[in-house]
Amino acid sequence: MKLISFFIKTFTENLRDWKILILALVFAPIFVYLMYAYMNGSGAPAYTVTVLNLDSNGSYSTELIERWRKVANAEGKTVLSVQMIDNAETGKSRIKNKSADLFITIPSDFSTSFSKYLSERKRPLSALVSYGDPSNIKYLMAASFCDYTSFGYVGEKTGIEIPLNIKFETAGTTHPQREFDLFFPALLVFSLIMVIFTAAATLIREVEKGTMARLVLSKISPFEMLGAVSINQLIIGTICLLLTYFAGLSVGYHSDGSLWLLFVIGMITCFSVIAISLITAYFIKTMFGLLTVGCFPFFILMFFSDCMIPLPKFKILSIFGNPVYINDVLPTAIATRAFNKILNYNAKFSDISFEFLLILILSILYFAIGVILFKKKHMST
Amino acid sequence: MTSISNSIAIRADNLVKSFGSLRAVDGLSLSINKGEVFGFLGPNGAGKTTSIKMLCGLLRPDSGQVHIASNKLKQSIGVCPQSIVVWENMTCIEQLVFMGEMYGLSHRKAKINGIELLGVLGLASKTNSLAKNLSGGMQRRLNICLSLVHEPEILILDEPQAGLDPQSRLLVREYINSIKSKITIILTTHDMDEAEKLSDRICIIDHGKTLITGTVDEIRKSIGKGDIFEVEIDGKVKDDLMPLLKTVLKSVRIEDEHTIAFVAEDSQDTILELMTVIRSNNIVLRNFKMRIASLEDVFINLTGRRLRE
Repeated sequence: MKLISFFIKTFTENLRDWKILILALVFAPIFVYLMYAYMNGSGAPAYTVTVLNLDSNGSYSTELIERWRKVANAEGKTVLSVQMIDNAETGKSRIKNKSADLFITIPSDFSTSFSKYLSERKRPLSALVSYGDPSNIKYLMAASFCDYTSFGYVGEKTGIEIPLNIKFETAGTTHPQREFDLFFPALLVFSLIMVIFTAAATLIREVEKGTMARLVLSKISPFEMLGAVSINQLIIGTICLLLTYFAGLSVGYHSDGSLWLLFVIGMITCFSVIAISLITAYFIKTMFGLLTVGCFPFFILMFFSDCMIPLPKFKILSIFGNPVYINDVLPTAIATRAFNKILNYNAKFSDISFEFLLILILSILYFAIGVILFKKKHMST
Repeated sequence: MTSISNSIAIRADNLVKSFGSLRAVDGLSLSINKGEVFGFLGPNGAGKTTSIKMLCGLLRPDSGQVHIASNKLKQSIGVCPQSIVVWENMTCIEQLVFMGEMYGLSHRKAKINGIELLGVLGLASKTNSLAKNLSGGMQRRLNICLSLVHEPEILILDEPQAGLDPQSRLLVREYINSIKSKITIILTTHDMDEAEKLSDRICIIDHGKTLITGTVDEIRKSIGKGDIFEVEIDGKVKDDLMPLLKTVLKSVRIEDEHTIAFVAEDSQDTILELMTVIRSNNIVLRNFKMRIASLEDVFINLTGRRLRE
C-alpha cells in the first residue's frame, strides 16, 4: 500500500518537475543524432583520402585515382572520399588536424614507370607514398582499401597475378554495418545511465526539502520507499531506452537481434544504475550537489562503459571461459557488450547468459549497498 | 523510545545531545500530561528544536530516554517542523492523502481528514493548488495540516506561528484552542505572548537546560510577589545610580538607557524610597508604569538577558 502510494507520488512529481525528466529522456536520442552526424552516418563510412598527384599528365595515375573513387561497400555506396591537393604541406596538415585519414603522394614518374614496365617489363614501378596518423583507426582502414585497390589495378594492367585475394566481410548480422551501427548499442546503455539523475533527484529532493523527515516519522521502510522509486525509475529507463532505440531506427539502424532480450538486459541494467544512484545519494544532500558531485559517477559510467570512445580492455580473469575485464565492475560496461552481441551479432539468451548473470549479481550487490548507505545517511535517527 | 501507560502522554528523562563540542541539550527532563498544551519556551539556540527532535524520534539522544504513552508509536506523534516542509509539486489534498496513507490510513479516510483540515485552516479554496503556488502563510498552514492528517495523539508544533500574517496567526491560534484537550500539544516558541495564551504549562529552557516548569501563574510567581514597575528618566541611567537603587529596590535592572525596572511587593513604601533617591540625585522623572510580571521578566530574572537577545 505504502509502496503504491509512494510510487504514485514520485511518478506525479517526476511528471510535474519535467525539466530533469525531459533532460533524461531526450539526452540520449539527441546523442544518437549527433553521433550519426559525426560518423557521417548518412551512408557508408567515408574515409577521406587526400591525393597529391605529381604525375598529373600521366594516364595511369588518373585512372588509379578513379579506381579509388569507385571503391564501394556491399550496398554499392562509395567508401573513399578522394580529395585532390597540390602540395605536400596541405596533405600533412590535413592528416595532423584529422580532416583527412590518408594522404597519398603519386610520384611524377608513376605513369612513365608503368609504361616502361608494360613495354620493357622493367621493374620496379615508382612507389606510392602513404602518409597517415597511426592513432587514427580510420587511417588503417583507408590505407587498406587503397592498397588493395592499387594492387588490383596494377595486376589488371600488367597481368601480374596477385598471389592472394582478400574478400572483406563484416562481423555480425548479414546486412552491412556502418561505424555508427557498431557504436549504437553503447548509446542505448547511455540512455539508461541518464536515469542516475532522475533517480538520485527523486531521493535528494526529499532530503533537501526536509520531507524525508516526515517520511522517516511515518516509519515508511527503506524497502517500500526505494522499491517505489525503483519501479518509477524503471519506467523512465524503459522510455529512455525506447526513445533512443527509435532514434536509431530513424537514422537507418537495423537489427535482427531479439528485442525482448534487449529489454530484459536493459531493465536489469537500469536497476543497477538506480542502485548506483542510491550510493551517489549517500554522498550528497542537495540538488546542487547532485548536479556537481553527481556528475562524477555519471562520467565514470559513461566513459568506462564505452559510451563515448572504445577503451582498451584489461582482462583480469576468466570464468567458465568467459573473459572478465577490469571495467566489468560497472554493470553498464557489461550491458554494452551484451547489447552489442544482441543487436549486431544476433545473439540468443544462451550467448549472453554470462553477461546477464554478471549484471544481475552486480545490480543486486550495488542495490544492497545503496539501500544500506541511504538508510544510514538519510533514514536513520 | 518506550511506552508508558498513565496520565502522562510523553516523558523525557535526562536527555543529552551534543553536536561536536556544543552540548545542545544538557540533561533535559520533562513530563507532559495527556490533553494539555505544553509550551516549550526559550531563546533561539536554546535547544528547543533538538529536544523536539529527540521527543519525536527523529534524533537519537546521546543519553537519556523518552517514554511515550501509546502502543501505536508511529501514529501517536504528529510533527509540524519550524521550517516549511511540504511537497512543492503536489496539490494540498494530494500530499495530505499521501501523508495519511504513509501512516496507514485508507485513501478515503485520509481524503476526508485532509479536506476537513484544509477547511478548518482556511485552505479549502486551495485544495487542488500545487503547494509551490501557495503564499508563505498558506504553506505554513499546510505544514500544520500535514502533521495532523493522521489524527495523532501528540502534536508537536515547532514555532507554528513563525512567519504567519496576523490573520493566519489568529486562525492557527483558534485551531489550537479548538483541539486542545482532545490531543496533547507540545508547542515550542520564543514568543512569550503566544506561549502564555496557548499553554496550560510552560517549560523555559536555555543552553539545553530546563530553567523552570509550571503553569503561567506559577512561573510568574517564581520571581516573587508583587508587580513590575518601570521608571523612565530624563537622561541616561548612569552606572553609579544602580548601587543606590539596589539599596532600596529588589531585583532592579536596566531595561534600556533611560529605563529601569524592578519588582515591588509593598509598592507604596518602595515608590517613596525610590522617589527619595531620584530627588536626591537631581533626576527628572519622565514616565512611570506598573504592570504584572510577564514570562519575559521571568526569563530575564533567571538568565539576566532577554529571550530575543
